[in-house]
Amino acid sequence: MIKRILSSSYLGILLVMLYAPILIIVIFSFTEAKVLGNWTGFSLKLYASIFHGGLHHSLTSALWNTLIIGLIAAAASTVLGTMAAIGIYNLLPRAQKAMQMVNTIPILNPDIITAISLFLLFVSLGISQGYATVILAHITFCTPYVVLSVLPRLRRMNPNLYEAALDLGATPLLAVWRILLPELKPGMISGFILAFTLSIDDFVVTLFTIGNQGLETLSTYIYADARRGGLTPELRPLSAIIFITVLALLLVINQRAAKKKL
Amino acid sequence: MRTTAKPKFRNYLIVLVLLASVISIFNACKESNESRKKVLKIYNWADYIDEGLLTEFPKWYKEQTGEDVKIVYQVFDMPEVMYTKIAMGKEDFDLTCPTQYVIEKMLKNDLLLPIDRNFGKTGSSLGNISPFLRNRMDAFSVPGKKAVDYMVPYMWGTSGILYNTKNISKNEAQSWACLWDPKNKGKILMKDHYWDVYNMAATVGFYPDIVSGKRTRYDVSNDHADADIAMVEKQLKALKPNLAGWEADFGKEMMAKGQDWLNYAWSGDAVWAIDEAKKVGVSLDYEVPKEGSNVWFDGWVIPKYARNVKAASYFLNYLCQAKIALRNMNVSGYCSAVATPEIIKAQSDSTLTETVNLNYFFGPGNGKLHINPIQYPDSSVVDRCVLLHDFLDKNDQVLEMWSRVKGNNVN
Amino acid sequence: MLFLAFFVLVPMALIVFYAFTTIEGTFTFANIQKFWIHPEAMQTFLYSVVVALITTVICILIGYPAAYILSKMESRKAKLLVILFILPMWINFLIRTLATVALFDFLKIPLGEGALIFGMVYNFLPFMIYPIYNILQKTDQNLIEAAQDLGANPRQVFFKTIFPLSIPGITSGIIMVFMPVISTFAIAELLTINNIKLFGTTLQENIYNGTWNYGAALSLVMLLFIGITVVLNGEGSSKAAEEGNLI
Repeated sequence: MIKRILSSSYLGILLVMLYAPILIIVIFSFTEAKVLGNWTGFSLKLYASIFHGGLHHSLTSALWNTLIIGLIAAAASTVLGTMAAIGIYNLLPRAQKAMQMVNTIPILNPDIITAISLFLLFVSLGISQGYATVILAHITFCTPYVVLSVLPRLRRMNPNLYEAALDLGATPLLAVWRILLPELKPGMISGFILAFTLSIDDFVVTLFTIGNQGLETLSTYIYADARRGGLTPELRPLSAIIFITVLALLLVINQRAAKKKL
Repeated sequence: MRTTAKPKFRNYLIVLVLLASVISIFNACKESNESRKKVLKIYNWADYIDEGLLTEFPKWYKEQTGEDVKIVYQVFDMPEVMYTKIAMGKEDFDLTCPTQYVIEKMLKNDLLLPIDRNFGKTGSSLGNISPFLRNRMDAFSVPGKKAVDYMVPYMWGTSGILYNTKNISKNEAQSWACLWDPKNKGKILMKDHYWDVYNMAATVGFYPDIVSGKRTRYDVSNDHADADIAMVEKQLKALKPNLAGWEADFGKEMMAKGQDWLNYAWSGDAVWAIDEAKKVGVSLDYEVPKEGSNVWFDGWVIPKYARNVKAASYFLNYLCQAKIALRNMNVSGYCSAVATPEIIKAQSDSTLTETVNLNYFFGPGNGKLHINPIQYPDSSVVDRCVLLHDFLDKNDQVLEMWSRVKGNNVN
Repeated sequence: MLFLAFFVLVPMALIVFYAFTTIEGTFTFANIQKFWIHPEAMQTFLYSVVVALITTVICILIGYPAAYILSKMESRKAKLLVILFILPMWINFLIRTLATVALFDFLKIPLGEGALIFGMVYNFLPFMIYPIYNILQKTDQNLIEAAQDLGANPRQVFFKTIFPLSIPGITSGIIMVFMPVISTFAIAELLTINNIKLFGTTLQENIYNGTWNYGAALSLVMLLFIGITVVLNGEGSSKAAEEGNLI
């Protein structure tokens, strides 16, 4: 019993610490002050002005781009990462280690180096930069994380399941689809979430692969504003809204799952 | 256990084909030469222009030339990123707005195209730029390339001390020495920007020579001799223990919160901070110290790889009209390089008691204007400000000195 | 695999190229030499390594128990909580860090080294919890029960069975935390008002101020250093993984 209370409170304290800064953002979203930390009286004005961006440098289009890029990059990374993980798993131990090292390089590399090297790559290949290059760049640094999520799962899996399926007459493709992937699913899901998280938060890599067509993501929008006139105050209500929305979604999904089990 | 090789290989092939097709599709959407002539790509700081203009300019352009144009607008956060993208990435922006020392570097490295002054029936408003800035601009000319052909100043200002009036007196703020004063220890924010800081340290270090007439301010700031660099290093190492820290962009916010007392600031940021601070009862002010400082300006240039020089030049013409300049001033909060009577009228504030001598900027007859002295400094202030040049060959050496000053964290 | 190879190896080749050339393009070792000659870069690097080690250790110390508790909870609830741990990551990095600064101001705690470590741990803790939780969750219950049947007390069960099996998760966590800590510059910039310089800042300065070649050389040195450590580490962890597989 005590153990239960202790463990719950441990988690509770951690969560409080993690969310304290978020709470600050939410609290200060209700004031108009341009500087985070100043309180100039309660006001909902910022909430009203979030979506009144201009045509060219707008928070809404940046947000939209971020979401689209994030989802596509995460999806592609998950697919590629899973395939890569399966591939690595099937190699001889020596080659495995080598590939794993190659895989780890983008994680170890400082993101500015990844950014510059990809930038130079795209320039020398003459690829016109924009949506495509950003997505490709994001896939490059997200895939290793997916591999890291899926590979341990592969290792834990009972190797005989696949063989058994083949023995029972399944084609390799069917075996992969029906046996392998469901086993890997949790790893794939966590890889997807990880990839998505990394993608929406990324700044430097996006900055250097964004091209000259006016593309902006949330990060580049925020940093560009921060240099000039301080952090866009509308960011606070935006973050608060995103946060509450996702939280609400989570709770709903959770409730649904509970009902299902019953 | 081994999965069979075939499906693996086939899957990879499928993915590769998909990727290749995605890339080629996007490449196909690349603008053809013809349609590119109808696009104007602008690369600018964030919040530095009235965005309404971006929709109005095409209409104006159509009236003046009968041609269509579409504006594509991209923002950058630091001029270094902009420089990298153009120099190394050969990005085909038509217009960009760097600070003057970056312009100098670009001009020297042959990265700029001249402005096309054939404005036909429209006539040129480029002459609206203050003679003060036009003269100073000449300092950047390179053999064979006159600066005035390559750049159009946009916003300008001074650098100085932003201070909290409750803790620092106006008298103290009038000298850079207050930054070295131990009584202010831990309450000072310095800019993490080696151009400005070098100038400040050199000016302070060689002030006796300036006063005695042995050296000019311009020389002190732009000579970059080894002895000068050593002096700067000495001054900065003495300054460092007194600082709360170095900031690149959050200094004005921390000042507006009343957290620190002194900050090296640019005049445009100072105006912003003073305003914001008022809202929470913090009182700030700005001074350009007596030892001297610098005048800076951001200017529009046409990068080398631009593909629509005509529309770019027309855009610059457009920006120099007084009404347009006023709108940009209002949105950005900075001070425009345009100097016409309309500007004087719009910016004058009769509630101000003191007057400012702005003959140098607006021309004769403007010796006593009631106007914000931070945005429009008095001629006595400007007399002690120089225009900074890029470090060029000395860049590496200065950077090494800078990293010695910022130090390893053991100090 | 081909994709990985192309997009990872080719940019790396470019970095190597830059590291060994000067601005004019001539081949030279000067950039690497510069690193050894100038103590600041080396000292910054070592300092960053120390900060990264401290952060990683703290993340493990805090994160492991959290992951363990989560793995023992009912699956649905646990999943929800895990997502809750990841959620702060979806608020943009810059505003999160600024909010941390505001938090510190509010609580009147001065910024500096402590704040830096807090900021780092705050930012990277979810990356440590996630892989450990994942692996703990998949730990075969039979193994635990077998240990218990063989007469082990809870402490032994943990240290001799559960912990060793979870090491691959810890390794993943370390990889995802250690290096990024060294290369993040914004956290150090904001939470110590630039007083403490991490290696990431050095890199960023070099690239932004035009001394590309030196920056590229620096990052190569860093990569080599870490790469060697990882390889040595890899020996240990793959053995553990193999032993785990021998059922």
